Amino acid sequence: MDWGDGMSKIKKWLPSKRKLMQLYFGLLFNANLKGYLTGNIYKGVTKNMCVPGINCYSCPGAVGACPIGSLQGSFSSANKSTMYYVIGILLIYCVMFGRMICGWLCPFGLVQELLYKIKTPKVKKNPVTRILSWFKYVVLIFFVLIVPIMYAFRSTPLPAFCKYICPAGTLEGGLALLSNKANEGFFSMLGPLFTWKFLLMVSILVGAIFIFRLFCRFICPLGALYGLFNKLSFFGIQVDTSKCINCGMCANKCKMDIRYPGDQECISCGECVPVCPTKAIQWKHWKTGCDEQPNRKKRTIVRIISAVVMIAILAGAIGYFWVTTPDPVKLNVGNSVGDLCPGADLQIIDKEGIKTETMNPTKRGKITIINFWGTWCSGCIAELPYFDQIATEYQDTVAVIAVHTSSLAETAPAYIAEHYPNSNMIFVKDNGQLPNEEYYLALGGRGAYPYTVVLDENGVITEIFFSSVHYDDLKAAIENIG
Amino acid sequence: MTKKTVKRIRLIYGIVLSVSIIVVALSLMACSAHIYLTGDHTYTAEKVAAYFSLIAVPTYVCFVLILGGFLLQFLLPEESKKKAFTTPVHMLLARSKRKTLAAGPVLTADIQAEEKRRSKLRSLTISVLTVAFISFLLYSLNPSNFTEDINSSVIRGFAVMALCLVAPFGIALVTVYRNNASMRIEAELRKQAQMDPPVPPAQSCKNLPSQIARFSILLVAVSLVVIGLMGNGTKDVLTKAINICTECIGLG
Repeated sequence: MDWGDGMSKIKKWLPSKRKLMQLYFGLLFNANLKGYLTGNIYKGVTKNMCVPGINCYSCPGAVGACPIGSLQGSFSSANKSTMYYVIGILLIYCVMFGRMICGWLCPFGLVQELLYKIKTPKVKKNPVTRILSWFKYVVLIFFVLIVPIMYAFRSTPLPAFCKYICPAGTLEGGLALLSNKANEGFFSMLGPLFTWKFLLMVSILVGAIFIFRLFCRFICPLGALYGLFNKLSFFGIQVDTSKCINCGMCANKCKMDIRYPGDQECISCGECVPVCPTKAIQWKHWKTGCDEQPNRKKRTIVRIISAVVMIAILAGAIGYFWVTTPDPVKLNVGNSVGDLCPGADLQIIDKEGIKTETMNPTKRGKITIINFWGTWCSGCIAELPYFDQIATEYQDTVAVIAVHTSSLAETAPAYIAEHYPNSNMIFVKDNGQLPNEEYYLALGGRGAYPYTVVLDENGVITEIFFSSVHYDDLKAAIENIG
Repeated sequence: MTKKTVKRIRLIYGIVLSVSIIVVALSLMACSAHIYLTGDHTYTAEKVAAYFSLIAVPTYVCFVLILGGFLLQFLLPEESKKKAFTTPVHMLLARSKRKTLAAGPVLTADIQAEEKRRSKLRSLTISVLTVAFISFLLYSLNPSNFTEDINSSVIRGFAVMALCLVAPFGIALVTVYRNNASMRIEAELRKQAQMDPPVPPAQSCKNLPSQIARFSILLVAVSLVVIGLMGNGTKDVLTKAINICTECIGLG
C-alpha cells in the first residue's frame, strides 16, 4: 500500500486555508449560539457595528448588523448621523479589503461554495454570465438606493433589497426563526411575501449547486459595491504587468467572471496565484502596495500565533455571548388569548413631544386594540392608516392605542405631527413600567414588529396578530367581540 | 476500471443527482405555492410539516446521493485537466517569442479594420446602455411613480427596469460574440504578419495617484464614522438590529 498516495488523497480533502477562514468568520459573526436554542435574537451592544459580509441581523445567532440592511435603514432615519456612520463603515471595508471580503469573510459565500461542492455537472462561465454579472449593479442602484431613498421622502422605511430579494435574510432570519418551536406563532404571519422569498431562496440555493456563487456573481449588491474598490483596496490580489505574458491561465482557473485578477469581479480567493507561470499575480501588501515575501520561518511563527489568537477570540466571543444573553423572560402575567391583559402606565406621546403624564391601556371600559409599532419599521408604518380608520369609525366603542418602542421614541412626535396630527389613536411610549421589562414583552412579544393585541371590554385578550394587519382583520376582530 | 468506464459512471451519477436535486427543489417550491394558493391562504406549523412529509423520501434519496458523490470522488478521483488558454482576449494579447517583422500593407489594413469594427461595437453598446440608464433614471427619480401601494410600485419599477435592460442585454451579447470573433481573426492576422500583440492597458499597483486616492478615501471614511458616532448614529443601527422587522426578512 502506498501511504504517500493515501496521504496526498487525504490532504486534498482537507479544507483550504480560505475555507477555514470563511468558516471562522461565519461562526464569529453568528456566535450567539444561545439564540438558536431560544429562538430569540441577540440584543447586545455589538449590534451597533456592521459586519463586513451579508449576514442577516434577524438571525438568532447574529451578533452584528448587516451592512446592506443598515444602509437601507439609514436612508429613512431622521438622524442623518446614522447615514454618515453606515456609509463610513462601508467605505472603510471597501478601501481596506474590496471584494476580498466576499472570498474570505462572507458567510453566505461559504454556503454557496459548499453547495457548489456537490458533484453535479456545472455551468461554466461564458459570455452570458459575464454580461449577467453586471446585473448586481442594477440591483444595487434600484433596490438598495433608489427605492429606499424615494420612500424615505414619504417617511416610510423600506429596505427593498431585504424585503423582496435577500436570500440570506430568508435563510438566516426567516427560516432560522421559524424552525424554533418558541416562534410557532410566526407561522400565522406568513403570506405572499414569504412565498415569493422562499421560492427565490430555493432557486438561488439550487442554482448555486450548478453555478459557482450564483448570488455573489449576479445579484449581491454588497459585492457590487466592494468590487468598485477592488483596485484601490489595501488588501487583495494584483497583477504585475511587467511580468504578465497574458497567457490567460489565471482567467481560465478562476470560476468568477474576471478578465484579469484584481478586477471588479475578483474575490481575491488566491486560486490563480499558484497557476501563474511567471509569478505575476501577487498579494497586495498595504505598506508598499506590492507583496514582499517574508522568510519561511518567520511566516510559520506568525501563522501559529495568528491561529492561537483567532481561536481564543472565537472561544471568548462564544462564551461572552452565551453568558451575557439573558434567558427568555418568564413573566408571571397572562399573555395569550383568554388571559386578562396586564396593565401598565405608559407615557403619552403627541405631536409636541413625549409627555410626563401616563395612561393605562387596559382600563378603558371598551374594546381596546393595542398596536406595537416603531417609526423604523416598514410593516408598522404601512398598517397604521388602518388603525387610524378604525379609531375614527369606532371612536365610541373602540380605543386604539399605538405603543411606540422605547428605542427611537423621540422620533415619534415628528412623525405623528406630519401624518396623524388629529388622529383618534392614542400614542404612547413603551417605557417599561413592568419590572425590568417592556410592556411589549409582557404581552408576549418576541422581538418581531408590528405586533397587535385586541382586548374586550373587560381587558381579556381576544386576539393576537404577530404581523401586519389589514383593515378587514381589525374589523373582524371587533365584530367577533361585539 | 478503465478511464472510459469511470467517466461513464460519473456522467450517469451527475445526471441522476441533478435530476433528483431539481425534483426536490421543484417539490419544495410547489408545496410552498400550494399552501399559499389553496385553502385559507395561511401557513401553520402543522400544515407545513404535513406538506414536507410528502417530499421526505425524495429529499432523503437526494441526501444519500450527495453523500454517495463524495464517496465516489474518494474512490474514483477525477483526473485534473490542464486547460489550454483559449480566451480570445488572451489569444490576442499573448506574447510570442517570434521576431518582430514589418507587416505587409494588406495585413496591416485588415488588422486596423478589425480594431475599428470592435471600437464601433463598443460605442454602440455604450450608447444603448446610456440611453437605457437615462430612461430608467428618469422613471425612478420621479416621486409620483412610488405611490403608497408599495408592492405595486416596486413591481412596476422592476418591470420598467427589465424593459430598459432587454435591449442593452441583447446588444451586449452580440457585441461580446462579435468582439471575440474579431479578436480571434486579429490574432490570426498578427500571427501571419509576425507582429507583436497590442499593448494591454497598464495596471500599476504602486503609483502615487492610487495611493493618494486610497488614503483619501480612508480618511473620508474615518471622518464619516466619527461624525456619525458623535451624532449618536449607532442608535438607529442598533434599533433595527435588535428588533425583528418581519416585513424586512420576508415573513409577513
